[in-house]
Amino acid sequence: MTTATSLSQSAAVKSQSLYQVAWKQFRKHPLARFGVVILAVLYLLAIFAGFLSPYSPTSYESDSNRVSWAPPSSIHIRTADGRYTAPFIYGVKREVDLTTFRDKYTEDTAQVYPLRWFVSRPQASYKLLGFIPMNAHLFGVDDPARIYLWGTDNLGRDQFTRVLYGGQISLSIGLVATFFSVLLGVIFGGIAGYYQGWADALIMRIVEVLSAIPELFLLITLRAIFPVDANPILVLYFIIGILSVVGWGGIARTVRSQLLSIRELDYVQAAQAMGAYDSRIIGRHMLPNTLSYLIVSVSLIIPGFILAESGLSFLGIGVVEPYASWGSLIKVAQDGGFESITGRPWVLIPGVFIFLAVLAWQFVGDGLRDAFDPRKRQ
Amino acid sequence: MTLTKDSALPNRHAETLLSVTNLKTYFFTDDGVVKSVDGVTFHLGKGETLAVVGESGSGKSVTSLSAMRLIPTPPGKIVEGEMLFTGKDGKTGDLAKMSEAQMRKIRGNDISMIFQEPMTSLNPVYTVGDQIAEAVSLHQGKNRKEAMLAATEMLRLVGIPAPEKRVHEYPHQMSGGMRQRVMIAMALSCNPALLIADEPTTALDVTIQAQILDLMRKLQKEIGMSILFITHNLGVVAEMADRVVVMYGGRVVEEGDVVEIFQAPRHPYTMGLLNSIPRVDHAAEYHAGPGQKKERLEAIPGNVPNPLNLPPGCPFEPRCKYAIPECSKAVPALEDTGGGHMSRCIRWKEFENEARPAVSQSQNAMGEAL
Amino acid sequence: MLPFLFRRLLQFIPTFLISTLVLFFVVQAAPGDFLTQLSQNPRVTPEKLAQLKINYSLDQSEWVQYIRWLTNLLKGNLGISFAANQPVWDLVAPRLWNSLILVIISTVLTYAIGLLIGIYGALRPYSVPDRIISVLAYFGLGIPSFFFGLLVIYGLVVLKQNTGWDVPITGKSSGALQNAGFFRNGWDVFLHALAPSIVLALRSISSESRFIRGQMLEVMGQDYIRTARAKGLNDSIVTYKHAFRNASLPLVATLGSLLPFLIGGAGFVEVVFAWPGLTPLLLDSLGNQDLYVIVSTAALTSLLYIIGNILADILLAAVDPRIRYS
Repeated sequence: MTTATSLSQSAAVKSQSLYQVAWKQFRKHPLARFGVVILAVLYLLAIFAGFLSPYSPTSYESDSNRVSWAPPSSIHIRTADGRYTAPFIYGVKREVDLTTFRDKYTEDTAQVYPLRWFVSRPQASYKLLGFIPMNAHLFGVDDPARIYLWGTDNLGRDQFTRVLYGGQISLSIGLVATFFSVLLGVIFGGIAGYYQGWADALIMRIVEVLSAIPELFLLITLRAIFPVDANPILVLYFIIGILSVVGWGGIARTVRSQLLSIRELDYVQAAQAMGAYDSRIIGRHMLPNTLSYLIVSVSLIIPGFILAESGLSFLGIGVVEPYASWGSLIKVAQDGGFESITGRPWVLIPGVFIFLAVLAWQFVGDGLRDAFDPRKRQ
Repeated sequence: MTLTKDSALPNRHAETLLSVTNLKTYFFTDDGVVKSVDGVTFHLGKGETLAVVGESGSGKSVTSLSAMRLIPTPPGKIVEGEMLFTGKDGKTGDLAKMSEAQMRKIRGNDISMIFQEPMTSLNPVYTVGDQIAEAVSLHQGKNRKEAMLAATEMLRLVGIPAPEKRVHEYPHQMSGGMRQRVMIAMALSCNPALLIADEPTTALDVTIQAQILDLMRKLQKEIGMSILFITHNLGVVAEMADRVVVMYGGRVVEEGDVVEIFQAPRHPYTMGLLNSIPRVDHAAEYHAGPGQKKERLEAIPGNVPNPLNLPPGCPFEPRCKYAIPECSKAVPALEDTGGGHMSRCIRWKEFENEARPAVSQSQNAMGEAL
Repeated sequence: MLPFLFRRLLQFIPTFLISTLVLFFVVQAAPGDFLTQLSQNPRVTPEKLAQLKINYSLDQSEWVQYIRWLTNLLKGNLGISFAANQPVWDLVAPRLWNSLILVIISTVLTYAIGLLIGIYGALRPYSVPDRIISVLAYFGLGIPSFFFGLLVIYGLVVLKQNTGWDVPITGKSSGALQNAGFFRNGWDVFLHALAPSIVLALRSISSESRFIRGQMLEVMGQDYIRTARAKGLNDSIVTYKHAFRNASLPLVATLGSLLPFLIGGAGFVEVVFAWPGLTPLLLDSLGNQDLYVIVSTAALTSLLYIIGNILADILLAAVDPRIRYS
C-alpha cells in the first residue's frame, strides 16, 4: 500500500500538464523573455501615456506662436558659463531661413527653463486608466517654453506625446482585432471541422475567397465602404472590423484541420465509442488540443494586425485625426517631398515603435511555438 | 577494465575483421555528458555473425554508428578507442582515426548498414533503382546504365519479383518488407566485408521478419561477409548469431558463444533478459487454470539508468536481484569465466551450473511490490 | 492528370464568382458613386450627368451591372474607367508591367539570397553567422516595408548630400533621358527599380530563408539522409541531391500564392517610392469610386491565384513522386 502511494506521488511530480511544461520552456526562451520585456514597456507607456507625456496630444498653437517641425529640445546640464546644474532647456526662437524658406529654430541662451518634475498642467488634463481625472504630468517646463523630446509635427504638436498616445491605438487595435478574428475563426473553423458537410464546403470556400484577393487590396476595398470623413471613433471601429474580417480565414483553417486530425486520434474515437456526448468530446478532448495551436497562431497574428493597421494609417485610410496611431504619425514624414526628411529625421521615430512592437510580438510568438513543440524541448 | 585488454579471445574464426578496443563515444549535451558507449571492446571474425544485444539506451546502436563514423557531431564524439578494420583490399586501418574522405570510401563499399525503419530509410523522391545504382556507380565506377543493371540484379538477388519493373518504382509503392529487401540490396550491392544490421526486423511483421532473416543468412553464405547484428530480440539472436555481446549502460556486460550465453548465462542482466521471453514449451503453465500452479513471465524490474547520472558501481545494481553491498562500490571488471565467455559481474562464479545464489532480501521485496 | 486539373478548375469557378461578386457589391456599397463627385463640378450639366449615367449603366440595378460586367470580362473586355475615360486594360496594363518589374527583381533576389542563406544556416545551425542571419531575419520581418523604405530614402538622400552619389529613389525613370536607346532606358529603369526592389525583397528573403532553414534542418534529421551517408556519398551530394530536393517540396507547394503576389505585392513600396505601379492606381480609383478598375483588377488577381494554384499542383506532381492525380 505504501509503495503504491509513493509511486503515484512520484508520478504526479513527473507528469506536468502540457501548459506547465510549455510555460517552463517559454521562460527559458531568451528571445521570448526579451520580447515580453519590450512589450511590457510599450504597453506601460501606452497605459500611462497621459502621465508620462507633458502635453495633450491634440493641442497646438496657431498663428505667430506655431512651432511646426520644431526639432527635439536639447536638454542641457551645463550652463553657458560651464557650471553643472540640474537639467534645463533653453528657450527657442523661430526664424525663416531665407535660402530654403523653411522654419529654423535656434536656442536663446538667455532664456533658461529648468526641467520640472510632477508638473500640474490643467490645460492637458487626462483620465488615468480611463476613469481617474488628473492633470499631473511626470515632467515639463514653465510657460511659455515648451519641451519637445522628439520634436513636433507639421502643426506643432509634441511628437513624444503623440507617440505615447498613438501607442494606445496601435497596440490596442491589434489586440481587439485579434480577439474578434479569433472568435470568428474558432466559430467558423469549429463548425466546418466538427459538422463538416455543406457548412464546411461553404465556409472553406469563403476562406479561399479571402485568400484569393491580395490582403492590402482587400483592406483598401473594404475601407472604401465607409466614407473617409466619418466620425473618427466610428473609423476606429471600422478598422477593427475590417481587420477581423480579413484575418479570420487563417485561424478557421487551422482550427478546422486541427479538429479533423484530432477526430481521428485513437482516444477521441475511444471516447466516441464509449458513448460520450458531442459537447464532452469537443470540450474535453478537442478544444484543449486545439488551444495550444491557437495560442501560438494568435501571438503571430497580433504583429500582423499591428502592421496592417499602421499600413492603412500610413496610406491615409486608417486612423483619422484627431486620433493618431504610429502609422498615421509616420505618414507626415512623407509630407514635403523626400528631401525634407533629412531636414527633420525625428519624424521617423514612430516607425521605430511599430518595429519594436512587431518584433517583440514575434519573439513572444516564436517562444510560444517552440514551447509547445515537443521536438524543441530540452 | 584492466582485464579487458590482455584477455584476447580464443576466436573460432581465424582472421579478425573488426577489432574494437575500449571505444568511448560521448554526447555533449546542455545537461551534461552522456557516456553512450563507455569502453566497449569486442572482436568480429571474418564470416562471423556477432549479435549485440541490449535494451534501448544501452549503447548498442551508438556502437554501430561509431563504426560507420555516422555519429552526429556535434553533440556526439568518439573520444577514445580503436576500431581496427581490414578492408576488402587487405589493408588494416583504424576507423576511429581515418579521415572523412577515407571513411567515405569504406562506407557502402567495405562496410554497409541497414536500419531499423525501412519506411523512412529510403529517400521518397528517387526510385529504388536510382538509390541502389548511386552506391554502385560511386564505389565501382560504373556508368549509369551499368549501375542500373547491377541494381536490377541486386533486386533479383534479394528476391523481389519482376525486378526489371520494380527498379523504376518509388519507395512509397512498396511494402515495408519489400523496402527492407531494397535496403539489403543497396547494402550488399558492393559486396561489403561487413554488414551492420541495426534492428533490421523490428519494424516488420513476424512472417516478414523470418523471410528477411532467412534472406540475410542465405546472402551471407553466398557473399561471405561478416554481420554485426544489433538487436534486442533474443529469438532473433538464437537464430542468427555465432557469438553474442550483451550491452548495458554503455558497457559490455557479457560476451560469449551463443549456445553458452543461452544455456549458462553468467550475468544477472542476461538471465533477466532470457527469463523475460515467453517460451512455447511453457505455454500451458502461463495459462494455467484455477487451482493449478501458475507460471509468470519474469520482467526485469525498474528502468534503464539515466545515462547522465549513472550509479558509481555496477550500473545494473539497482535492478539486480542478486545485488550485494559490494556491487555499488566500483564498476566490476569484464572477466573471462573460461572458454572466452566473459562476464562483468563480481558474483559470476556463483552462477556456475544450476545452483543460483541466494536472492538478496531487499531486492526480492521490491520485485514483489512491483 | 487532365481530368484532375479540369476538376480543380471547376472547383475554382465558385471562388472566382464569389470573390468578384463580393468586391462588386462592396465597392457599390460605398455611399454615392463616381457621378456624385462629377456633379459637384459646375461645368458638368445635369443633361451630361444623365447621359453619363446611362452610358455607364449606373441607373440599372447592381445585379444587371454585375452580369453585364461579367459577360464583358468573359469576352476579354475589362470595362471602362470612369475617371480616365478609357478602357480599363489600357489603364491597368502599363501599371501592371511597372509592378512586375519591381516584383520580378525582388523575387529573383528573394530566391537567390533566401535559398543560399537558408541552406547555409541549416548546414551550420547555431553557428555565429547563422545567429547573425537569424537576428537580421527577425529585423526584416519586424520592420514595416513603408518604414524601411523611408529609412532607405533618408539614407540615400544623406549619402547624396555627403558624397554626391546620386542613387535614383523616386519614380520609374529620369525624365531627362528622352529618345535614349532601349538599353540606356532599360538601365535607367533598372537603377530606379533597385532601391524599391531591395526594400520589397527584404521581407520575403527573411521569411523564405527561415522557412528553407527549418525545412532543411528537418530533412537533414531524416533516416534517409543517414542512409545516403552510409552509402559513402559526399556532403554536397547528400545536401543538394538528397536533402534539398525534399526540403524544397513545401516551397513548390506555396508557389501558387506567388502569382497574385506578383500583382498585389508591391503595395506600400510603390507608394513610398512614388513608383507608378498598380497600388497607387488602385488607391486613386478607390478615392473616386472607379468601379470597373477595381473589380477588374481584383478579378485578374483571383484569376492569377487560380492559375498559380493549378501550376503549383502540376509542379508538385512533377517533383514529388508520391503525388499522383488520378
